Amino acid sequence: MSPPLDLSEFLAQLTDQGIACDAFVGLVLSSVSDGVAIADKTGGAIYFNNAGRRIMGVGEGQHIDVRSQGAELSYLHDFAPVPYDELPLVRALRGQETNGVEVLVQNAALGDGSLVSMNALPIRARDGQVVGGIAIFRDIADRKQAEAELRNANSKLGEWVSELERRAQTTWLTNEMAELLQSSRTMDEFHLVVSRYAGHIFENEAGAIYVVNASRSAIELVVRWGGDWDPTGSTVFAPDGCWALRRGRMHRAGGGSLGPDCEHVAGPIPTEYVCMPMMGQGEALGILHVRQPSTEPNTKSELTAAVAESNLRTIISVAEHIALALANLRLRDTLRMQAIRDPLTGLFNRRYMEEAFERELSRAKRENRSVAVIMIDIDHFKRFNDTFGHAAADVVLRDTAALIRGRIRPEDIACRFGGEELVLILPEAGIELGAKCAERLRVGICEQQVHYRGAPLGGITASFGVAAFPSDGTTVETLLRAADEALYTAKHLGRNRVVCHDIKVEASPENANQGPSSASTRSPATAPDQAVARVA
Amino acid sequence: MAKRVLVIDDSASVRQQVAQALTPVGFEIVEAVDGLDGIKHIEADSELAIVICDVTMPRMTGVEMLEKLRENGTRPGLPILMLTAESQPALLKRAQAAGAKGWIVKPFKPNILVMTVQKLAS
Repeated sequence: MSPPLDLSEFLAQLTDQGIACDAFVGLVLSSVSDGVAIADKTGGAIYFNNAGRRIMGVGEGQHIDVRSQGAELSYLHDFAPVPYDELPLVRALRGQETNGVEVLVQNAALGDGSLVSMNALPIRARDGQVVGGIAIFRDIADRKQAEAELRNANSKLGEWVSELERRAQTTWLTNEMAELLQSSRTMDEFHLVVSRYAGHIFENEAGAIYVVNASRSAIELVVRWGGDWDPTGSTVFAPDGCWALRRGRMHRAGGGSLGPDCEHVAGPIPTEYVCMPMMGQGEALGILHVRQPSTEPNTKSELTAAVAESNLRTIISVAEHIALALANLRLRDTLRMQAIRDPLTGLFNRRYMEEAFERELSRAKRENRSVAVIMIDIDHFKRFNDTFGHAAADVVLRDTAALIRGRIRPEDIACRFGGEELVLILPEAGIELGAKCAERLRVGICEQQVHYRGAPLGGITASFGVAAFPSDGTTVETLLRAADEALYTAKHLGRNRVVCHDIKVEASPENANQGPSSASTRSPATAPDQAVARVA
Repeated sequence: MAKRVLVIDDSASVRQQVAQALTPVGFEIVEAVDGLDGIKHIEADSELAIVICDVTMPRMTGVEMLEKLRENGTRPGLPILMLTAESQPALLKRAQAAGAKGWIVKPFKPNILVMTVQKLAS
């Protein structure tokens, strides 16, 4: 960094180059906006620069001395005339400084006068002798205007800064919510995250988030914040109760806007609101409803317009994040369903059944309870296949599965074991309860009417093998084998019946093959309700 | 007995600044928020020693209030000092014509205010 310019050296240079010092000083004085008045030590004449003449109402070439000043000066604060001894230049010639005295300057040239702030100081020679005085003064109106503009600019800047800070905070919160939503595994977690964040993201607005329910029959409230919500108001409404959902695009209404109010908005609201549909894979998953804060109509400034614009962007961004999270959750559910369910029957698949069975067995062992397992095989299924084709056989399987699902307890696990074979796990059920359940299902299947292409497929029956923990086995494998053996016996005995495994069979499995001779059976046609056999 | 000053300004912070300057030197402060409010105080309070009045205020400006007081002949001897951010000479002349005794421009120097109030209230 170079040192500051030495003024005396510079002035000496100017003189060397033929520029007179007085010309230079005159140039400076004539270009500054403050008024400058200079008096020699006698006070007999005063020099004014351009600004000084303007402010003091002094004509060019007009002779002014300290005594006359050319204008009347009075103190602003009490309108008292400034006495001769207190005139700033007079004080300066006496060796006194004046600092920021505010006066009203009046003369014929000035009309109403000027409000002027004055400073003055003596000019001294090397020996300290006062050789003159200089006064510097400024029109207060100029100063005030500059100050007012500065204040105005400052407050505008302040507003913008706080708005930017608010936006940064909103963006940060939105991103954080989005990350948490992406990691949510269940709707419960989704609800938790959304209800915690939404109110903070839209801290100046009231709003609500609604989600389309699983069956797509209704829109349910997840969270709402701010505003005076009617606590008794409905939190569920039909999908067509919101214009945004009907149109699949943002809907603005309320306040002064022309858009019709949505049904879910109870009563007219004074401010504008926005309903933003949350879309995923072309499907509406919910809506984000945000009400603008009420503003005085005459305070619509550049800033409030910018705030509204930025809020709209936030609304769009938040709706997108939530929609994405909802779509992910839906997809996750679907994939989970596909991974554990058989698509034709809607029953669990074999892998899931084995895992669940394992779990139930561990629990039963821990809690000293029983678990029943029923193996079901539709009789003469191959015949349906051959006679009516695969499609008809699928209908039989599907309807039978539906019947079973409708007649078991919620905690029972029904699965398609393979082909036309189904397995039922009955937690906390013994062999008797298992047999009873099997018999009820057998009767149900006998009685059900399966139609294919409008024509009834008659004569569907099924055979049942029942086993139970702990009497018939203690592992998934042995219990399934026991149930399978009992099923085999039931087939052997003529089908359409229920056969229970016996504990002895596990001890000597080959006995199962002798089952028919020792099983008590009756013709299902004569007494279907008692067609329960026991492998002895 | 402390002399009572009525401060008329729509800005609470200005009223507070005035009180901070004048209370330590023995003045008692009462406040009003605009010209209309100020007139009510002046009519009701005959003990007032001086009024300090803003110019730009809602409902009624300080200059309008001055003119109203003059028109009604209310408290003709009561000194009124303008304390304002306004610096238009025309406005000042109008206030002067209506009887204002001084004009202090905001932001003000407390010592000038104290000095002027002491002088005008004596």
